[in-house]
Amino acid sequence: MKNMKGSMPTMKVLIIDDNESITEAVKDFFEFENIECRTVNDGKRGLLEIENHNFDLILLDIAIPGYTGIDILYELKRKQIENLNIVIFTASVFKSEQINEFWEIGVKEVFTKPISLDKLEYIKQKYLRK
Amino acid sequence: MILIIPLIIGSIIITSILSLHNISEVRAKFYDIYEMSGIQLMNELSVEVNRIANDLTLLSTHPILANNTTSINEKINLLQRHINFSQSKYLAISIYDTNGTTILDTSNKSPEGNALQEEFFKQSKAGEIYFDKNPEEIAFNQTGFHMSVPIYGSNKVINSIMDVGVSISFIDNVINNSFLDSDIKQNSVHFNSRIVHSDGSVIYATSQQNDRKDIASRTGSNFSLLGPSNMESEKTNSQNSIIITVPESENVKGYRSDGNWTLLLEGNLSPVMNDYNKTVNEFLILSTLILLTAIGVTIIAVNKITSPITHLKDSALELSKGSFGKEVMVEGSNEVKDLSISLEVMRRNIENSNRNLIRKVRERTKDLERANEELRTKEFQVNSINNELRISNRAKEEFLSMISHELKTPITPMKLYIEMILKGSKSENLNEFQKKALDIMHRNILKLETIIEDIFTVYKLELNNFPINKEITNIAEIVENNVSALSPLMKDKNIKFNSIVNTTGTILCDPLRISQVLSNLVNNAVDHVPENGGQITIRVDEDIHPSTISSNGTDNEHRKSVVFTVEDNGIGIKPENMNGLFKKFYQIDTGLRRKYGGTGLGLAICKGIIESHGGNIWIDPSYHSGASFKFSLDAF
Repeated sequence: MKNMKGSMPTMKVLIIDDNESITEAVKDFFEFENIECRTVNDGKRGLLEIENHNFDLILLDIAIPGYTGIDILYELKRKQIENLNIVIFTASVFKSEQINEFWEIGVKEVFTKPISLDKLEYIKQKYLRK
Repeated sequence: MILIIPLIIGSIIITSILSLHNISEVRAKFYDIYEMSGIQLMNELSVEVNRIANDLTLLSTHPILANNTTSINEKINLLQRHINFSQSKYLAISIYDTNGTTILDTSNKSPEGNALQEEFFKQSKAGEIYFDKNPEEIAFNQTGFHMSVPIYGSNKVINSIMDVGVSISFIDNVINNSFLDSDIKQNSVHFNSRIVHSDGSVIYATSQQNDRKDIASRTGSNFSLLGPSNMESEKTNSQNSIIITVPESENVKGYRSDGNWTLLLEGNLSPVMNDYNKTVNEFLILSTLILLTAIGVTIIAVNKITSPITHLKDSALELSKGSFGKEVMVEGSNEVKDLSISLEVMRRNIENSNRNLIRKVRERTKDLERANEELRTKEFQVNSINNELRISNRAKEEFLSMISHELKTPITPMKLYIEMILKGSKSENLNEFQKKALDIMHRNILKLETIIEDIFTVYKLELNNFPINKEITNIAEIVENNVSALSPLMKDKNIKFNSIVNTTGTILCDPLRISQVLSNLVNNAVDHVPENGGQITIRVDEDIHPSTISSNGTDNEHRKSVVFTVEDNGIGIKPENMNGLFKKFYQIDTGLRRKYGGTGLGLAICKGIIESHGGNIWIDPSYHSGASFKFSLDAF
């Protein structure tokens, strides 16, 4: 909370990935930029976070063991939760028709893994500017 | 065949008509013969009557008879001397005086009383020779004719009348001696010859069976019809009887006929006609038989000739229908027999070859079935192997993907943190050592990433699961992008790097992959050029025939293709290493102290990508200034 500056509402980002090191690194990247970050390492909790809080951006990993990123997307679609900003990271080639299903709930872009600094910079510039 | 029957019937009819015509001809012939004979007979008869009359006339002039003074006995003696009673020619003689008184009578049957009223007396007293043509009983139950002649005295005056009873038997004699009789006998024709008086009585009849009076009464009514004028009509009487009428001859010298006699010849032609008819019938039957036999023989002969031909025809038809099982009958005349034999030989040959063919086909079919069975087994095996392969390939892929992911994931946060430290504002707080350590770590992390990526790529290529997204690509553009991407590196390494594009064309390819190939080749070259004065050139040419060098055939020879070349002035490649270079994990310099790094996967990936595009990649063995890598792609 040290970075919060009174009257200035900060951007809030949710990072969902099963790998703690990655979520931590991404969280550090955003917090250096004074963006509030929440990290979740399993799908079910990620879904709960999305349902219960407003995030300016959600970074979603697809290949989460157990409750996967795809499961989260279907559940959001089923619950008709819309107006989200979701950026997907996936190791495999995501088929475009598969993504087309989720444009309506707010999937904005798909990036292939690995997550790199360039990609994070790009996302920050594109989706997290006031 | 049908034509024969009317022919036969026609012949029979014609023969019958001819036969019938012949019958009437035979009748006419008989008629002519017997008419002639009849005429002759009547002539003879007249001649005979005339001779009798002459005899009597001659006798009447004898002085003994003419002299009234001679005794009766003298007269009888004379008569007996001249007239032979024993011959029965004369039955009786009576002499009357001119008053009608009987002077002499040998028969004692002279007319009672006076002869004055008798016809013969009147005639002869007038100087005529009288011949009574109606016979009557004269003496001793004997029938005869009265013939009377006048007897002249010395004064040439009739002093008495002589009446002679002439036996009817003289007609017998005439007839018996006549030609007619013998002729009738010869021809065995039964003839009734009658001499009929114009008053209707029968004078004489040859038939012994018939009573004269009966015949006379029976036939009497017809006699008026039997005049000479009716002769023609009589010709066509009945089939088997013939009636000829001949009038008395009128032109016999001496005796003037009164024409009261008519010869009536009634012939029965039955025997002759029966014979003739029999002959004709026999002829008809025989000819019919001959004809029928001829027809039969013809039919049999025709059948004998045609039936083998018909059989042949049927056999040929059977053969033409493709049924070769039925034997061809060998029969008929020589030619037909030869033909049948030839046909039969042909049939047997065809049948044999058919059998052979069927046997061969069966054998082949069996072989084929066996082969098919084997193929099916093989196919099944191949399918199961394929399935296993597919399963194992999928497993491999999944394994590779998992390994790659698992290897990459730990790298990600390491790389992120190092980059955040090095590139962010925090790098200002680092000392030289820290900075150097982080740099080396960063470089190795990148290298590790590349190695992982390469391994993944090479296996994907091997599993034919490497995505290639072809699009029409400008050659110059793809080269230019590569050059600009690699230029900073070249500058760092002080390498002279340039590109020559001798084409304005396009190729159909995945530009990212082709870039990857070019970049791999250039990066390889970078590792091998000398540290100072290194030179790397990318060149693109059209239409160089790659087939002379390419490993897989001459297919590309006539195609327009584009050849990419990456040349350097490095150490070059020895010919013995050229082939193995594109194998994965192949490195010329093995061992721990190898000079050049890399995974040995770069060229294998290049080869995989180019071959996935249907192109070829090779090392130009004629280039000696360094290494010359070439790959060709079809121009689009």
